[in-house]
Amino acid sequence: MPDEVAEGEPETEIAALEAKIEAITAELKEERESFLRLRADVENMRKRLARERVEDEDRLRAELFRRFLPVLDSLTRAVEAPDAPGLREGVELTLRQMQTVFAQGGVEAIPSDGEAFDPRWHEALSQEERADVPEGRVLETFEVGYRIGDRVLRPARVKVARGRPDA
Amino acid sequence: MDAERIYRRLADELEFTRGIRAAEHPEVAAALRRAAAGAEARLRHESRVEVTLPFLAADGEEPVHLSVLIQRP
Repeated sequence: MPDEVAEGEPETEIAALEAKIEAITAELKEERESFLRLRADVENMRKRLARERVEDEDRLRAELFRRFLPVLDSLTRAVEAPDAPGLREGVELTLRQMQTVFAQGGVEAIPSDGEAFDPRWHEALSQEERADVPEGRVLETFEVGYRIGDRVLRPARVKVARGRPDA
Repeated sequence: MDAERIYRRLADELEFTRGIRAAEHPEVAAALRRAAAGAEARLRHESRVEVTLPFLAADGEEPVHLSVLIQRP
């Protein structure tokens, strides 16, 4: 592309300017097409990532429920079983089956009874004045909490010891 | 330990403790095979797994459960 237009005859100058305009127009067209292609690529990638995310979520959900199917089978058979002495043992085994699935998924119960109250893991539903227990100690667990690593599925709902006002 | 060996172990336990032969009960055999495949997969990461199969069958009116500890050899 000519950067400079030589001074000279007006016709020559006009021809040179026209050539320059043509070159700039061509370059602009090329840049625009390149930009449109890039924008289409980005849009396609965005759609592909969104589709893959949905597929990953579906796969994870399917895997999770697949692990619980044996528990579902056991409970289905339990309600069909006659009310015999072995019924309770079967339900206890089913509970163990379910706890195994949880443990395999990295789910663990949050320790609470006798622990120091920790707002990351515990939710205090009530307090009780106690002279024989250190302040902030968990006295009772109303509902067991669960976590996966540092992620709380449900906090342990507890009663916490409060120091005596005159202490 | 492969799934077939685990299946044999479960089937033997069931026959020995409750007198039920898995080979004669297709639904029991299928449940044992599923459990054996699951145990085989878990044994790749754990040294021992408990196979728990509540309400596997019925012995008259009494439900039959199976709970067997499988250890990696």
